Amino acid sequence: MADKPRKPAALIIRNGILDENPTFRLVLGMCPTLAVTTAASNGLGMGAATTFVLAMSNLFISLLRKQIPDNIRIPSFVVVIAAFTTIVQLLIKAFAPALDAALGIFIPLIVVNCIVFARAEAFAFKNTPRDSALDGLGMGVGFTCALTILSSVREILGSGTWFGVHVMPAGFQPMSILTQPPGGFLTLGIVLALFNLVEKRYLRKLTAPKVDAGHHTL
Amino acid sequence: MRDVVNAGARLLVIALVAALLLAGTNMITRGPIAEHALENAITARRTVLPEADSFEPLVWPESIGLTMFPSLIEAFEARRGGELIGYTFLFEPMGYKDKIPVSAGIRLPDDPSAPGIITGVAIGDISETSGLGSRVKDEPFLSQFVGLTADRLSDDVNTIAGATISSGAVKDAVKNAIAAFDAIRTDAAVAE
Amino acid sequence: MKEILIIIVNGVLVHNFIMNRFLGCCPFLGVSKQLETAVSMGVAVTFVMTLASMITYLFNSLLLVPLNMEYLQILAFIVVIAALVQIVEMALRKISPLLYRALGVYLPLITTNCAVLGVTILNVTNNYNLVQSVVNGFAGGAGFMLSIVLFAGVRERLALADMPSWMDGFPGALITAGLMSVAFLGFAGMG
Repeated sequence: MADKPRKPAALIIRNGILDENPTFRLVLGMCPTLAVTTAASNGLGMGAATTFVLAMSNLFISLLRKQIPDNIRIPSFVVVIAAFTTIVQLLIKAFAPALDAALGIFIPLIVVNCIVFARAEAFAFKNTPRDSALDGLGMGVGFTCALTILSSVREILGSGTWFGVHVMPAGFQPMSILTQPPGGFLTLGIVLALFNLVEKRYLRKLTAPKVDAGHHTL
Repeated sequence: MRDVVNAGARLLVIALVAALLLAGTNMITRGPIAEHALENAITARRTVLPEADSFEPLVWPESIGLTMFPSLIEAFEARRGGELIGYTFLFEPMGYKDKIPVSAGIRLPDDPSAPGIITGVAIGDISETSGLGSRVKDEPFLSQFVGLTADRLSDDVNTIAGATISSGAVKDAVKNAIAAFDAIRTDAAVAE
Repeated sequence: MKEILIIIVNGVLVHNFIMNRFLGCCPFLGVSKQLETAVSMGVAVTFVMTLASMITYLFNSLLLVPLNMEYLQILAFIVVIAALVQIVEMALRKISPLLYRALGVYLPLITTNCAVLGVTILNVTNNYNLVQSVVNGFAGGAGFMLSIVLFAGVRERLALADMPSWMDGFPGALITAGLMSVAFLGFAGMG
């Protein structure tokens, strides 16, 4: 592989954070995005856990891609992703039990996160291990950024704190609906609308055409 | 046919390696997970009944049906200098999102005919809505319970506005703890 | 009996899989543009969730727990679900081509639907027995179907509305879902 021109690492990672941000551009992995973003620490923790699974499963699927015949690739992906999800679940249980309680069922559900699956299929199965690991890392960081932004909005406006520290003036009345289930849908809807608006008004010429969000059905 | 066998064998190898990897991780993490649970339980018992110096698992009297307390997880005898001074209970009632681990300590009053006194309530790791249900962990809510007896529980403990379900679940768990305490006490009196 | 009733009310209304638990959001947002497809998806998900609850319960209690291998739960459950979906797809094609045509396209998507894996894990964490697990799977599926069908109905109308282009599509759909979710908040505390 050494003779092939290498894609610069920064470019692959940038792709996951900006050009194909899983949450804001591809609109993938909605369940954790909506469910755990009630507090900034949860969003960050969920993002980190998903990043680990994304990078590791991408790396291993890419390493194994020549050993896996095409017809068993889906079950193989499932096994690899499930293994790394369990590893991250056990590690969180052992070393960050409070995070485990806060995220609950959404840690095991990383296994069915469409982002992980989509990257295995669309990227890792076709690219070198180095590129695949970087792609997983970039996607994971992009996902983490999105979750942290959303959960910061929800936590600051919904309970007046950020990472558990009071940040709003004393007279601030928290909009508690934002930390409840409807707040997940509303915040993401409004943030996406704002992204679209900004993009339409100012960035139309600077960025690539918007990726068709058709993959979300995965 | 050969392809199928080949593909199946490869899949099996991947699954086996994955299972082995998980068994390995499990061996590493099993210790800390159990340790953490144990530590949590010990800290919870100490916080809810600080006067005690040792705790022993309570042998649940057969005469009291366990079905009376479906969410009771464990009960301990609290002793100081070997003398029984009260009990601690761990209940896991359903909160708004998930179960809430509620530990409650209840002290035997000096006068044997008086009701038991709540010495403390502590909440374990929870996933309630942050800013609302999560406030059941906070001091202002939990400190309301300290020093109360069963009859004053309903009036003297205010649920948290906006988190009626979570705080109500904690209140009910403490009520159940008192009921369990009374049942154990009656049982002990009969035995004597 | 009372317990079973509580599980049903809980799954369909109070802790609705979409509106309260956020399980199964991908198909909820993706396959809800038309009422007809939403109904098919709902039926397919309910069917698989009920079956998966039963099979993973048996798998877990007869195999993983006695062998002390609970750490393999995620791996085992997702493999069981993937296999189950495959079998259902093949069986449906043989037995009822009509039903297959209606549901077939949605079946492969169900493997990665969090609602299915979610319900099997919830059954374990709630210590449900076989009957409770199956009822929980069915109720969860029914709740999923209720939300997606209601949502598709709203979206069909909404498609005719003249929205600013930056609100069209996902943002508009998400805000609609948010308002629906507010209605479901009213059931809180019933279960």
